[in-house]
Amino acid sequence: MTDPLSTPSPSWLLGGNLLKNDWIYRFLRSRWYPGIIQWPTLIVFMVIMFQLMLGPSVTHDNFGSALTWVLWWPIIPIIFLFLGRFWCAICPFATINDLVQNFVGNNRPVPKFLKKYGVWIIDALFIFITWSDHVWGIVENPVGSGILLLMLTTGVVASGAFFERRMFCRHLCFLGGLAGNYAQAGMISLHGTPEICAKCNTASCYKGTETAPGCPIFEFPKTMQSSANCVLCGDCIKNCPNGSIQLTMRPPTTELWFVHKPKVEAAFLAAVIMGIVFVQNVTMLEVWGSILSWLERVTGTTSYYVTFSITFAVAIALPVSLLAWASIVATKYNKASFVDNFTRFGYAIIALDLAAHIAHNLFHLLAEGKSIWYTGVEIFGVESHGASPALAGMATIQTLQFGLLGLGFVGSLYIVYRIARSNFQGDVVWATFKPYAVLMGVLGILNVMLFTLPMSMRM
Amino acid sequence: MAQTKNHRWLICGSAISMLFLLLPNMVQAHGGDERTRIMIGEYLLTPVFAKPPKTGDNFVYMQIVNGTGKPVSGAQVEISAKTVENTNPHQEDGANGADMMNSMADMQGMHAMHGMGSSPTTAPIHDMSSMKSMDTAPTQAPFNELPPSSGDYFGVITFSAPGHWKLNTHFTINGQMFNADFPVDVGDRSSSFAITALAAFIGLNALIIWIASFTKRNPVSV
Repeated sequence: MTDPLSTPSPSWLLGGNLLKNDWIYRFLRSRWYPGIIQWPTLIVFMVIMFQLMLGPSVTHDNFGSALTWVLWWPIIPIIFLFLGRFWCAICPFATINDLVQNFVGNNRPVPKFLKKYGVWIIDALFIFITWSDHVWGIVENPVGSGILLLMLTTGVVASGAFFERRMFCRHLCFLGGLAGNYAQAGMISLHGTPEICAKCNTASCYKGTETAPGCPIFEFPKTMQSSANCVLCGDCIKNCPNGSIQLTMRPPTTELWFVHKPKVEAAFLAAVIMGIVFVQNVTMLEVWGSILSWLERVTGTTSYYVTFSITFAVAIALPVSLLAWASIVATKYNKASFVDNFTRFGYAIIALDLAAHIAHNLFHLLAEGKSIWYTGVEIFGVESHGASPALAGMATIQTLQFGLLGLGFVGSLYIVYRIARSNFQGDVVWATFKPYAVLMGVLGILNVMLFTLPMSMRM
Repeated sequence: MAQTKNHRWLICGSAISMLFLLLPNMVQAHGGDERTRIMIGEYLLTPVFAKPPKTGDNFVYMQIVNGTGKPVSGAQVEISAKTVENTNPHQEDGANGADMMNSMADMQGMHAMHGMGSSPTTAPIHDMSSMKSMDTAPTQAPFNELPPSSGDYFGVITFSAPGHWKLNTHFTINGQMFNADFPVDVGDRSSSFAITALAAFIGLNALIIWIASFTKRNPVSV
């Protein structure tokens, strides 16, 4: 077995292999990883579930709501940016899946339709869950949040009970779909060393060994070209007999510059996420009531199902239509098919998605962050009514939000440029770049407009 | 083949069970679409809940138009909420008056508190004589006009318990104060529903695990 530590390289932090760092290498190969983080996370999850289902009925007072929607949900996209899908390695749903599988797992193969349409199902679930959050009030109601988590747990239990590995995480988890997109813009990458893997016939990383199971997400590091489905669980590092696995840091969005096999469903999800960020922003703005009022007058109905669904459909359709428009325009110059353009350049929206997503949630984290403490101590009878939940002032938050949006916009523009350059030559590169630059400009301006308006809080 | 059938039944069963878990919420969500309109002097008020009112935070907006149907802008609008006793058996196991008022104070947690002026004009539209309001000091949620000069006012009200509540609207136009009450039925998001959902969850998951352990011991070939 080759020990990667035996190959001297001082540059492990600067684009080199992080596994050359003794501490990181030993930690990831340790039998305690990821369990040492997984199990405490599961315990916190159970506390959250208890609070959501049986704690205070008002979101404002519920510790589970605060932990879920003010802490976890805002920091999750930040984790995806810095650590890729590491969250998925310690996610309580994954732990439950493994637990059930160990006891009663039938380990049946993944149904073919899930392999074929999994990402589309994830897209649909993501849209449905966001829609249902607004219509049935999941976030603003602790029990609603609890039921969502119970339903996901049921899906995970069924997956662990009947199917092999983490079928739910790979093919059905709506957050996994989001994580897959964001991880590609992330700063960490795990992959095999091509020269070493080329000589390997054991495929221990995929199949597993006595040391650790095979890749839970059905990835094969030898051929893996994307971080979308790597959860950094460390199993392949433990299993590889040749020390082939590398863990490297990279500038954000690097992977999106060269997507080898772009998928239309992932590009569609990127556009949909932008629409969902619009919806989340619009419905939290204080002008939302006036928009609803106007919609009711126009449609002649007071049904929230109707008015919200119209808003939702428009918000989702807007970035998808704009991406489609840019792709049609680009087709005239680069002669590629509409679908090819839509698929390739859809990935460029991910940087702006991630920035807008973090910026939106930064408001909740920084304007309501202290509510985590207040609701936590309230369990022990310490009242803190009337105290400000803010960790930072609005001016600071807005500065950070606009800074993030700026970075996301530049990131998306640069991805467009790199994709255009890697697929076309000469004048076609800039001719292709222009319509997508307009797209990113429009999406960026829309985001800036939404972030300038006053927003309501979750707690 | 038998295994495939088994899978289908399991998937269908899981889907149906999840729908049952959702159903109570869906039924509640339909409950609040009826529109209350209140005529006070020459002004017509239309309070609208963004979603059917339930325990917890509720986004509410208020349209105010004058006798000619023109939106009235520049009004100062506040709404206070009181529970109405003995109208809903669920209230007894929900919260007592003190708890409710504590929770109503919570409603102000993130919204500035405004002092309550006297109300020379009170115009209750609905007959509230059969309801007995709790004698507690009401608190107000200030409403903002958004967008400015639109005649639409927006605010957040928190209900701590399900049942019948009375919303008291105070608004000041051109220095003249108006006051009106209107009743609201607040849906239950209480622990009884949560316990039902938990029971369904435990039952369904126990069933899944039992079936899995059974099929693991007795594998069925395709």
